[in-house]
Amino acid sequence: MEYKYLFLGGAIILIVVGVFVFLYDPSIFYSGKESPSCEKIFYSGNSDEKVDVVFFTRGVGKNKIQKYIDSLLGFEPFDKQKDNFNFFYLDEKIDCNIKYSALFCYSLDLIQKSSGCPNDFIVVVSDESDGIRSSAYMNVISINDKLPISVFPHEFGHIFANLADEYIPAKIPFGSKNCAKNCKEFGEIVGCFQECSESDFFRSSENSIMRTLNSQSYFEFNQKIISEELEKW
Amino acid sequence: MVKKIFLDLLLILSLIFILKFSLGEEQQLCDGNYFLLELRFSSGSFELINKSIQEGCAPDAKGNFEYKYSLVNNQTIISSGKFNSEVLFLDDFVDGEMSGGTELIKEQKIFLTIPYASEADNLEIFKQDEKVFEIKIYDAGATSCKIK
Repeated sequence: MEYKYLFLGGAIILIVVGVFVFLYDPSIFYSGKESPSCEKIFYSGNSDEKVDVVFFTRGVGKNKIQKYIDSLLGFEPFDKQKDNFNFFYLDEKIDCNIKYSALFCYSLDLIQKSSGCPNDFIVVVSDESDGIRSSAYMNVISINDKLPISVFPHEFGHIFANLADEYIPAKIPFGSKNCAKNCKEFGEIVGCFQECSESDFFRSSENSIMRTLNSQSYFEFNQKIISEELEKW
Repeated sequence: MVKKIFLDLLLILSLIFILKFSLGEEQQLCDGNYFLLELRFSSGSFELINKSIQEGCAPDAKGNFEYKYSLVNNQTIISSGKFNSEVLFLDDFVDGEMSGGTELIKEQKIFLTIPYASEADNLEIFKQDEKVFEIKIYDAGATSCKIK
């Protein structure tokens, strides 16, 4: 009789321990090579076939990341291609600098830490003072959280589709297509407005997100450029 | 009776662990290696600081940018990607107006992370179509006994 209770007690303890391990310590049986702190925020599937974006935060709550993701995925054509994206979060301490009055987090340390998650694009969201700009360099976006959330789609336009700023003054990067020397370059797309990075270049829409953070759209011509880039994934 | 309960509980426990292991497999997102190249970018030219092989994920670089890298084996391109180390975008938004623009970067340490390929011999960097940099890559990390 005592043995029966011993068996039963032992089994219940095993179950309790098993459930605890399952729920509260996912790293115990973890056998992958990525950092255990790599967390899926929005996951569509195999990283080889998706656009993978990894977020870090500095002085900003992790829950804020969802707002940035929602903002980007609210813009056409990303809104119709959500299942082409994965978003991850890495809980790591990141050091950033200020360069040209902008937050600049691009560093060897950031690049190495990012390798703990799929990382086609890297985003650091940081709580900085007013007046500190956001930046984009290589595949790294450094965001001052004080700016409107829509700064993320703007910066993503730079590093994903090589879109130039449509406000002036700025410089047009090599290969950028959204600023044209003449309106014919926009083809059949209606709309041609002077000033696009440079005062004698033209843009295809009056107020796209590449010109003002108050905008809710990349507009048609830029959407086409982005869609062409998305085709590569 | 107690024995049956014990066996049932053991079965449930086994199922929990099987489920856990299968989720663990699903979490293997970065099970590869990559080349990490530390380069000094200076006015359109590149100088090697360090090359190594690291564990983890490397990005795909599919954008349309000015510079292109290629991993090469016997003049055959194994993989390639594009980047722009020359332009830093800066953006501020005050009173409904954007400002900041771009800065052309004259000098900057840059880091190329490229999925590892054991058959890769060289890494080449092109500015538009002109080759501006080339290094041997097969000895990166000095972990290989590959003799060239």
